Amino acid sequence: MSLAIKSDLLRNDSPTADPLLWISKEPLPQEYRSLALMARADWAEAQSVIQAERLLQSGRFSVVFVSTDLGEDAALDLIYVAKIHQGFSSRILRSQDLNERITREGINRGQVLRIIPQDLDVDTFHGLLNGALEKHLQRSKQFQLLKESSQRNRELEGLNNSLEHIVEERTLHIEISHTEEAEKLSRERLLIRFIKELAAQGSFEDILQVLRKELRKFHKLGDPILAYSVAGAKTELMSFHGGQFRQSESAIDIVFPDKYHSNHPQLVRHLANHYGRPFIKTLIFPLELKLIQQLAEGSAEAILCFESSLADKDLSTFLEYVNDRLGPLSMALDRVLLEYQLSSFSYRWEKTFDSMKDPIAIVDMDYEVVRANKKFPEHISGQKCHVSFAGSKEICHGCPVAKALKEKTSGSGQIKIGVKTYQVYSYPIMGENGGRSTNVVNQYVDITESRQLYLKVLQSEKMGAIGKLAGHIAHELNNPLTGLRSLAQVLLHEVPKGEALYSDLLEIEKAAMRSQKIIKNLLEFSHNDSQPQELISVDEIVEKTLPMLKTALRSHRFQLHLSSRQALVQVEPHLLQQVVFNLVNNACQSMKDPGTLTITSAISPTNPNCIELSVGDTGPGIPENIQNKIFEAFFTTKKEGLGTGLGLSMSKSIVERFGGSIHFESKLGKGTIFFITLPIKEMTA
Amino acid sequence: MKILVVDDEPLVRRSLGRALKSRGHIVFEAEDGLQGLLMWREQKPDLVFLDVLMPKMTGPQVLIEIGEQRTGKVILMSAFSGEHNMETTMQMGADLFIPKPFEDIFSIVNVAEGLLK
Repeated sequence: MSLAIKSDLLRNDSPTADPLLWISKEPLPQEYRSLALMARADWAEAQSVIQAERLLQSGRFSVVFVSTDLGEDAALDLIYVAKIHQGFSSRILRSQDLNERITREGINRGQVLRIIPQDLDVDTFHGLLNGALEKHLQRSKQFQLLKESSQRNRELEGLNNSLEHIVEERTLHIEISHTEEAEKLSRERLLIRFIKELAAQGSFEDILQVLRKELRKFHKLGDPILAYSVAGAKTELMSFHGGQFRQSESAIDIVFPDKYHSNHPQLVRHLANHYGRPFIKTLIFPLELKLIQQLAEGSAEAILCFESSLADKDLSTFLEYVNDRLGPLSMALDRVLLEYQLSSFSYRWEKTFDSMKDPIAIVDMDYEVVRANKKFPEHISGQKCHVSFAGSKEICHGCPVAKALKEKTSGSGQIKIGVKTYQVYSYPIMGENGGRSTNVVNQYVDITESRQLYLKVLQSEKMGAIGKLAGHIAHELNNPLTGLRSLAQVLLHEVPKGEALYSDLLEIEKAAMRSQKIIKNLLEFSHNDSQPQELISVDEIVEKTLPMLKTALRSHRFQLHLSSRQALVQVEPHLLQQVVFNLVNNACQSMKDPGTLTITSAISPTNPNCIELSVGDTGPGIPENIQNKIFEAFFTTKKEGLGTGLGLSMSKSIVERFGGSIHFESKLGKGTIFFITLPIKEMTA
Repeated sequence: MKILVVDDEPLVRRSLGRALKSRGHIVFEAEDGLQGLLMWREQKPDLVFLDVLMPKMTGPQVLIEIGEQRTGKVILMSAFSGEHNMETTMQMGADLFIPKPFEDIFSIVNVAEGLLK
C-alpha cells in the first residue's frame, strides 16, 4: 500500500478519480470544498432525497456524506442506497443529535465509516476526509486485487481445463478409433450377413423385405421403391404400402438416371403420379443389371428410390451404407430378374401352347407323352399317345411319328378316331449336334369338318359327273337304239309271223326295248335335280333299280319276294332308287364269300298303313360297338376311296324325308337285315 | 306325199323310210343338217322329220336357214328331251315334237299321216 496516500491523500498528486458526494439541505461549506479540490476530487451535491438517489444510482463516488437534516429516516435510507450502489465508497453520516437508532441502523444497515456531527471543524474534517478516501482507495485496491487474483485464478482454471480437454480428447480419440475399428468390423459383418441373406432370396419382394428390414435403423427414411424396365417393356414399380408388398406397372415410361441423385424432380413427379400421393425429397440410386442386360441386349435398367428426410449427418451415413450394399443388391436383383425373365419365357411358351386350338404333345420314340398342352386329353405321365388321344392300344393307322423320327424331317398323316378325322403333323425335335432325335412334337388338327365338307363336295361332284355322263351316254345310245327298235318293228311288219326270222326280229326289238328302259332308269337315277314326287309302288322301284345292280349281285344267290305292287307310296322315285341301290350294294359288299341276298316287300306286320322293304344278307354282321355309328355321316368301314361313309346316312335322310324310317337287325356271323318302312298313300286294285 | 327324213342316225332314217314307203309315200333321206336343207329346197317335201342334234347343222338352224323357202309340215325329233318340248318346237315354227326313243314306230307314222290330212 502506498504510504503517500497514508500521509496525506489530499495533497498527493495521485489522481482520485471518483468525486465526493455531499447530501444535505445545507450547501457544502466552502472550506470543505477547497479541501477536496486539493485532493483533486470533485464535489457533487444533492439537496433533496430524489436528487441524491438519482446521483447514487448513476454516479460513482469515493466518499458519500449524508446529513440527517433531510430527516432521519431519509438519511438512513440514503446511506443504505449508497451502500448498495456505491459499495467501495466510504459512507459518512452527519447527525446533530447522535441517538441510538441512528448509530445502530447507520452502522448495521449502512455500514458507515463514521458518524460525525454536522458542524465539524475543517481540520477534523480534513482528517476524516483523508481517512475516508484512504478507506475508499483501500477498498478499491482490495477489490482490484481480488479481481485480478480471481482473473488469474480463472486463467489458470482455463488452462487447466484446456489441458484436461486435450487429455480427454486424446483419450476419446483413442476410444473412437477403437470403436471405429469395432464398427468397421461389425459393418463388414453386417454387410456379409446382408449379402448372404440376399443370396437366399428368390423374389423381388423377399429382396426388398431384406433391404427394408436392414434400413429400419434409419428413421426418417421411407420404404424402398424399386423400379425396373427390361427390353423396352413397361416400367415395373415395387413398393410397400402399409407394410404390404405391392407391384404395379407404370403408365408412363420412366427415364432412368444413370447416377445417384439426391433429388430428381421429373422422377419424383412420376412417382407421385403413379402412387397418387406427394413425395418428399427422394434419393435415387441406379442399379446395374449386367446379366439381364446381356439377355435383353442392353435394355435393362433399374433404380432404387428412398424418400428421405434424413439430416445431413445421417444422410452421409446412409449413403455410405447404401453404397456398400448397392453392388450385392444389384446382383441379387439381376439374378431374380433373370430367373423371372427365363421363367416368364417358359411360362409364356406354356401359355402359347395352351391357347392353341389344336392338341399338341411332345411324344418320345416309344409313343409316350412327355408333355402336352391343355387341348390334349388328360393323361397319366408316360402314357402312350395313342392310349390317351385315340383310346386305342394300337398305334393309330396313319400315324406319322415313326416316319418323322426315322427321316428326321417333319411328316404328317391322317388318323381317324371314331367319326373324327385328324391331320397329325409330327415335327422331330433335333438335338444340338443334329444327332438322332428321340422326341417329336405332334400337332393334331381336327379336319373332320373340312373332310366332311370335302367328301360332300366330292359326292355331289361325283353324282353331278355321273349325271352328265349318263345324260350324254343316254343320248348317244338312244339314237341307235331308237333306230334299232324301230327298224325291228318295221321288219316285223314285213316278215310273216311264224318264220324263224320273225322271232329273231322280235328278240332284237325286245332287247332294244330293255336297253331303252335301262337307260331311262339310269337317267332318272343319276338325276341330281329335285324331281316331282310320284305315286309309285316300292316293287316297281326295286325292279327299276335291279338292272343296275347286276354286277354286284353276280356272285351271290338272289331271292326276290315282292308282294306289294298295289300299295303306292309318295316319293321321288330316283331318290328311293338310290336307297335301294345303296342297301343292296352294301349287302353285296359285306359278303366277302358268296352268300344270299334277299329282298322282300310286304305290308308291314306291325303297321298295316306301312309298306316294309327289307334287304338281307348273310355277311359277317355289324359289330355291336359300331352299330350306333353306322348311320352317322362319314362313318365307313370300307377302305379309303371305296366308300364315302355317306350311303347309309343319305339313305336314312331320304327315307325320313318321305315320312318313313330305317332300322336294321344284325347277328355276328349270320348277317344283317335292313328294314325300310314307308307310309302307304294309296292302294290300287 | 313327199316326205324328207333328216337324221344322222342311219337306223332311224332307214326304219322311218321303210315304214313310210310301206304306206306308199316317197321318202328322201338326208344324213346331216346341211344335206337336209339342200334336199328340202330341191324336193319341196310335204313333211319333214327333223332331228335336233346333227353334224354340220342342227335341226333348229336348218329351220332358220330355210326361212321363206320352207314347204310342208315339220316334225322335230330329239333324244335329249330336256332341251326341247312341244312349246319350244312351236316357237321355232315346227308343227310337232316327238321325243326319242320311239316306243312304236307305226304310231309315229300314224301321227305324221294325221298331220298331212
